[in-house]
Amino acid sequence: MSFLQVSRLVKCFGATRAVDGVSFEVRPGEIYGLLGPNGAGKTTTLSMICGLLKADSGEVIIDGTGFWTDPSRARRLMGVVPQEIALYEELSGRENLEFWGRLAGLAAKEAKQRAAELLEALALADRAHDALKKYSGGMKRRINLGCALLHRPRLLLLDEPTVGIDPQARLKLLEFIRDLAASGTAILYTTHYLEEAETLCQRIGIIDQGRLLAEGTLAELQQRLGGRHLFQLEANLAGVQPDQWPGFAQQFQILQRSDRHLLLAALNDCDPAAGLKALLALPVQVDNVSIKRPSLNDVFLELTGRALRE
Amino acid sequence: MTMLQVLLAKDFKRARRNPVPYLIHLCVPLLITALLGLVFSGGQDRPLARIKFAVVDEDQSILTRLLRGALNQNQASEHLEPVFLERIPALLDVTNNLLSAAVIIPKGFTSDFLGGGRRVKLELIKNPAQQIHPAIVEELLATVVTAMNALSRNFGDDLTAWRRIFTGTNPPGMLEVGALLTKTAGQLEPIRHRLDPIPVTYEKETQSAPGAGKAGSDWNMFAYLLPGMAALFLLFLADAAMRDVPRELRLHTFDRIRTLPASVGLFLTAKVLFALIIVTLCAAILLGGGAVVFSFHWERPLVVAVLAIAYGLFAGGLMALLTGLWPGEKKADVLNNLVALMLGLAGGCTFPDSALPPFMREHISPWLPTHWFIETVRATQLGATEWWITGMKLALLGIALLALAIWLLRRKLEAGVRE
Repeated sequence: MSFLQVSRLVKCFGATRAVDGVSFEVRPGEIYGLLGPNGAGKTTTLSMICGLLKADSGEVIIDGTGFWTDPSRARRLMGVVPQEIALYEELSGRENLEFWGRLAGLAAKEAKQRAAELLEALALADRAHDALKKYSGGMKRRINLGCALLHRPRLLLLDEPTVGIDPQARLKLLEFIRDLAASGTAILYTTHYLEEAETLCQRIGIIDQGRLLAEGTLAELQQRLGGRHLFQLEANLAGVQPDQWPGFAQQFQILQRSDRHLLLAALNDCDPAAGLKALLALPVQVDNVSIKRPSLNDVFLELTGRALRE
Repeated sequence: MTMLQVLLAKDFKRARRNPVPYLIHLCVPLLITALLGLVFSGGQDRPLARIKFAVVDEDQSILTRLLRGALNQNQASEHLEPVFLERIPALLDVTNNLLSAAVIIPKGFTSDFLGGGRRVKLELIKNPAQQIHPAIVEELLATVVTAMNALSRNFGDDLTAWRRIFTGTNPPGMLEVGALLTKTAGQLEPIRHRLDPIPVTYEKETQSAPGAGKAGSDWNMFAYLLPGMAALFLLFLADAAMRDVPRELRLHTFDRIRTLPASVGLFLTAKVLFALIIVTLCAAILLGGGAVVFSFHWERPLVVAVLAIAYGLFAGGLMALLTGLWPGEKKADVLNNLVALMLGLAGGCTFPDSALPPFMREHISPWLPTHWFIETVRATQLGATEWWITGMKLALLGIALLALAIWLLRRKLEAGVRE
């Protein structure tokens, strides 16, 4: 049974439809990735789930109860890690943790104890008493995450928690998040990093321009391209109309093209060698052809007609 | 209650580690009050500087020489510094602003005065670059003229005899002088009881506050100015404290708090309480410390304290409302100070009521909480007793403004409006 259910969420800002009928579910112990470019509607969706914004329509159900039916209960069940480092620079790491713990409803003693535990777990015990302004970006990110965990939430909402930190700090943070999921926490993770979604999330929802275009496991999403291999063709393609090549449109779908490159998906589950043979027989001077497995970016490309990295 | 305490404790920790904004708002009103007080009070214990003026004695008679001697003696020398010059150098010194005035005793003055046949004139040339000192010299000269007119009218015959003695070519005979003195004394004898003691005198007394008879209740420039300055700067202090709301919005800590069971109402209430405590502490320093620094005392310190607390509640509520109206930092930077300044100016924080334009004085100021606070504190100092009405009005207004601010801010934030 899912811990978080989001149904047909809609949010408009004036004439802009920032979120347009988004629905998905997150189960206990699962990391659900909401993948999309900047401005896709990830943060707005997350803001509606945690009650920062009121949806124009749609529903958020947490542990079987609508958010707005009992907002206090819903808020006690969840922890939110905002994209920004939402902490007090004048306070120390320990003071920040204790403060957010107290606000989450912990008693002073319990907050102190949990803060100490988290400082150990986040490998920041030796810097506990330093003012936050003396911390590095990665350390602040860890405290930012820790502040949402004091009250042991059953649902964790993470809004691009690794933005702006070095790869090493990112790996540590992702490892910590995996451990949280392993302990049964349901995690909603928004990101625009493909690698994070691919390596961290059990299921992924692809969002663009406020709409959830597809969702599923990485394998399921790859299957959207028929589980096929993709062909990258290098040639002088200026002024060429590939669709007019005999038999081409029946065999391949163009995912991306430029004057030098074509990214193609085979329409029929053909053998890679047969695909290569067909490409080399095209009426164009081919410089190179390579085969690759489809990535999330290719799925995004198929869904939106543009790359996530663009 | 616990969450309120947690929020308040956090704000005080942060303020303690970054106290500069509060210290600035605390020092500025004290400095301004000191400056204004010193400029306008004239320094109550400071002696008046000696008035330097020229005496041009063109007559050179015994009488004028006696007059010159008198100017340099006792009380006159405490306040006056006459220099005896010729006409041209005296006028030059006046022109060059070295002297406040020049008094010229024209040639033949003694002879004409004692003779009584012709009108006599003293000349006074005042320094136009100065205001007070030349006016004092003029007043002194008017007194001398009045006295000389009185002498001329009452002792006309004697003055003629005296003229002969002063202007005679031979030195006056002692018998002649003695006889004249005896005659004059005989004339004075019947009116002796009117001369000693002098029948009309004056008593120097400082104006007292109406209805106040205790020591130290004197009207004091600083006690008058300080409530106005305090009212204005307490608004700025409340703004500095409440400015943390848009700052926390920018830093997203406010949003994070909203994801927890703590509500917008609780958060804003904590901020207003924080502002109230800051304003109250600063009011204690401004009004209490100001009284110590400027050597006066509040007639009813407890009442002033209660009024300051009520005013703090109003100031916090007002600034919370402004946050509700424009949650963004950029607008708050400009508009909050403007609102505080306008409320201060129109409420009489910097100018007394009487100096405001009539329309503002009669139709705007009476509706402003700044005006209520200032006038009530001043009236309390003069013995008024209806202070509690103002206290209630300020406190209730503060609570109403806070409630309105919570409603507005919650509505805007849930709709995603942040500016």
